Amino acid sequence: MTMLLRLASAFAQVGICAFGGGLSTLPLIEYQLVTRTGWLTREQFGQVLALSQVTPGPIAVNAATFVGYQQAGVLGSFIATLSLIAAPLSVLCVVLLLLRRATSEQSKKFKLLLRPIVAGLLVLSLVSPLTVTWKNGLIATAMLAAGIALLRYVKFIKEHPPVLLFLYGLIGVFILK
Amino acid sequence: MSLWELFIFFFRISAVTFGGGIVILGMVQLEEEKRKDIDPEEFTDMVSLAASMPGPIAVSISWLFGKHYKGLAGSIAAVLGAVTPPFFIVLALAPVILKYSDVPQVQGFFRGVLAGTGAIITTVVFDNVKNTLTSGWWNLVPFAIVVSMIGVFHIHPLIAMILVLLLQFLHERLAMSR
Repeated sequence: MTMLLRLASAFAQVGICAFGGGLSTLPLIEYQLVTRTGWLTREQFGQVLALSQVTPGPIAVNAATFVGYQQAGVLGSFIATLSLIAAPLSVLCVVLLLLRRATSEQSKKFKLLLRPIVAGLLVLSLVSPLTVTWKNGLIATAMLAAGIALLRYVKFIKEHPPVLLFLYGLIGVFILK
Repeated sequence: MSLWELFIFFFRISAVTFGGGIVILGMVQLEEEKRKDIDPEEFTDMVSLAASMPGPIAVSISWLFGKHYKGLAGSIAAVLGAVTPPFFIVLALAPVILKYSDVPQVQGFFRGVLAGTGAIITTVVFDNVKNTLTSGWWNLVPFAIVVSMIGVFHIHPLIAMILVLLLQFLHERLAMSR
């Protein structure tokens, strides 16, 4: 029971801080799951991140479902995912109530204020994948560097990044084991 | 759209969208342009609001979209549609991954994917951060505070974000009164 409450609280906090969506959520997830609770090691966090990239849906939802299951089974999975989405949705409802109709100018202005904050979170989101890949060895690090070049210069990869991920996963099965 | 149609609309988009976020907004926009049953200005408001609210963007846009058609019930149907595919896919994979996470090949797979993910993140982050930091010197201040508070001092992100947001509002006020 206490585990379910802790899951609910951890993921509600992730949800409420998750401005900017996507990658900028990573440092928040990492703070809750690695730094504060120790539910995941850095390596495991890397696995969850990799998993979320090869499954559909927002990273935060994938992390909630996975870690919820890991800590407390199917029910944990459900509770973690539910609180991750319910917490920010209640913020949204309050904003809608207060604003009646949020105009695009208001949200644009707010988004501008958020931009440097989101940029900070984005930089922090780099730390884990880079350090874990570095620890995974020279080949993994070289693959990462080559990936940056592929994403920049190969049109097909640029338009379909998941192709790179599956290709790298396949290479990993044989070379990075 | 009926409740069922709302559910299916977001289920379909969510099931094939990897990474979530901005990509989802683009897909919803494409679909909406075909239907043309939301006033364009209202739709723009929805998209900017969804992108400036906390939480996964897929969740907030489906909530607003559902609300437009069918009120609260519509919101719930749309959000369920958006969350169902990733939830069940990860729920199905989780026991398998946990069971076999010590198998070298499985670890190798994840290491490979993580290297690719690192490449993608580096690319995305570089472009975004460059654009943000070159659009005004002040942006450096909240940026540096967020990075050092969360990354270096491990201050709770919620506290860090509230403090920096307050700073941003204050700065906006001062800039306007000048």
